Amino acid sequence: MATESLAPVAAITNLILGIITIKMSNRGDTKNSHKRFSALLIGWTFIFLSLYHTAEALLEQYYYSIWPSSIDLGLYSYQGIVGADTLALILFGCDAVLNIIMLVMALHIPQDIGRGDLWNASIIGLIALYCIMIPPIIFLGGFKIAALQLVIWICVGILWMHTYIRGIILEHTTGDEKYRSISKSSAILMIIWLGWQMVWWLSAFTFLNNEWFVSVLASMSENPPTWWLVAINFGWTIGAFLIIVLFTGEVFRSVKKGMSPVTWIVFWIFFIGFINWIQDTLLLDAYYSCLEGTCEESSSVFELINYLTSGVLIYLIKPLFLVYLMVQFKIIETASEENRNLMRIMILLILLIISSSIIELIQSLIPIPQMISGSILAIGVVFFIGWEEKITSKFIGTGNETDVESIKGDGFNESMLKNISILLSFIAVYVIIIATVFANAGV
Amino acid sequence: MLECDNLQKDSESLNFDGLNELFDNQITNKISSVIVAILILFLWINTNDVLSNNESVRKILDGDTDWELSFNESTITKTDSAIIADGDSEIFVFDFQSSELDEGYRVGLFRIAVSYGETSGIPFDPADSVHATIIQNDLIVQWNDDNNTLSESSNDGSQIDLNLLAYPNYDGVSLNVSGYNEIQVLSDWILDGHGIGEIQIEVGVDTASLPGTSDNDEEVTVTLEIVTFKAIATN
Repeated sequence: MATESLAPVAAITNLILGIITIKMSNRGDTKNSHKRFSALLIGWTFIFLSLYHTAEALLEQYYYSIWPSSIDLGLYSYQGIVGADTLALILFGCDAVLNIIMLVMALHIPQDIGRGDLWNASIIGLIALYCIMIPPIIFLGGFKIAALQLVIWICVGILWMHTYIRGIILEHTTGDEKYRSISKSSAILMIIWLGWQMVWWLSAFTFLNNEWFVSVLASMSENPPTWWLVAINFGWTIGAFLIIVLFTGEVFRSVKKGMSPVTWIVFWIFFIGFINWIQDTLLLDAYYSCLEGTCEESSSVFELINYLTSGVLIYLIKPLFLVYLMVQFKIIETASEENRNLMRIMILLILLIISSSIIELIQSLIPIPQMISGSILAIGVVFFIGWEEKITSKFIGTGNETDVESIKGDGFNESMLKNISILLSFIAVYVIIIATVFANAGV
Repeated sequence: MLECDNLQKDSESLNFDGLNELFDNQITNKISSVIVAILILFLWINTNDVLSNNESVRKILDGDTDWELSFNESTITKTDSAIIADGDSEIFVFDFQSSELDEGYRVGLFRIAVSYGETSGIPFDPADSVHATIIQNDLIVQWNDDNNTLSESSNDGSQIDLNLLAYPNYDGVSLNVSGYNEIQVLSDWILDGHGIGEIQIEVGVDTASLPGTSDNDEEVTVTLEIVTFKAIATN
């Protein structure tokens, strides 16, 4: 039941999606600048995700594997190997950028909470300041500082949770479909950014995550600072609360209005929580064994479970749902003729990712020969190409009026939009340069 | 029209209408407030749990691995007696099952006392000769321990004392041990199965009598003491 890393696939996918999205954000007839700004944020999210997964894939290929949690919690120390350290520092840099992009996204989608030139300029300034200041602080002050960024997760989670609840309640009380669009987009955004933390909800509520964390604590030569021990809780706690809110909201809505695709996704993540809880319970002895000096190897079955749950959510669901968000809510102008070809590439790419991932999942569970899986993928590709026109039209036509109208806000002027792209391009280069400099300096 | 609105809004420097709109529903605000309050409470509880775990881990990792291991003992006694004819032998069988043990106790060792007196009633009749042996069977005990006394005899009427170690290395004396946690320290002292089953003691009698008198048998009493223990680890 060997599983291949999804990081290289995610790196390439996100890169292509990022380039297409940024290009498409500058096109379209309506030129709604708030949506253009949102599209830019999503486009640059793709680019930084791509950079992150590229560094991760190279690290895994040439040095060692590193799980995303290690970066979020700051579980890294300089290895004295320039190549490995550079890649790890790029991961920390990208993580910081993605955190601030997530915060800015929460302030703009689905509800644009602030308006005006000063507000917009402040947002751009915040991105610049955060991305320039935080990575060096982490590199110099100790990697554990990275865990303090989880405060952003809490803020973002609460903001989207409130927006979601408001959407559910107002849809129920007013019967207006536009509120469902708001709750739907909030739910999707929560799943995109924090979904992989949600799958541990039952372990979080039963404190089993803390038992798992014993194995991490046992590997530390020095007593970790208290503020860090406080911060490490934020991720899985907000994830647990969000999925409970989503589950309750979707159950309530299902009873009143019926189920929707978002409902099924929420139920699926909720269900995974049970599987992961069973896994945690069975692995308790392995966690404690770390206290005795040698951690027991976890079974390949558990590795497969992680791969199928949080792994898929991190590497595949994130780009998939971001594309869905852009298409469904018309954040990018899908109808215009000049965007049509790019839309085709985007949709075909997503379909291929889904097919190859499903095949990979099947192959993880049942060891079917690669000749067969390759043939199945080829059949899928032929099918997608044959029906490309129909599939693209279906995707383009999915966004209903209320969904399209639900994401609204004030205008960014042209120069601000241009500045955002210039700024984020600069930050991408900046992250790579300072990572290289600090790794070479061996701080 | 939309563009005009946008231009008008653009000219404003700071406007939080969107934020106000987000909090315009009282029911939502109340629900969110309750959830955030629970979230903060849960974070506090969870943090305490992590801090407590960390404290335990540090205790282990930072060298607090010294433990004192003591034993609470409890003795179970069984007795049997028989009249054994001259030149004959008798096997005394004592069956001991785990259900007879107190909660958490294991069998440490067996002490066997074989006693007899001159029962012929004839004045100046010399003491008989009695020999006792613990028969080796499939009972899980330490048959080869150096401190065992598996066979002994007496020809002066004195009590024969035998002993057999049941639990490996058990002597009832407190120990200083090192270990990462209580479970690890106690792991060697919570094994089941030792000393559970049948213990068999063979007792033989050779009578001695004065010329012209008849002393054909002897009454022998076998007392089995089962020393059970429960290990206690103190950090």
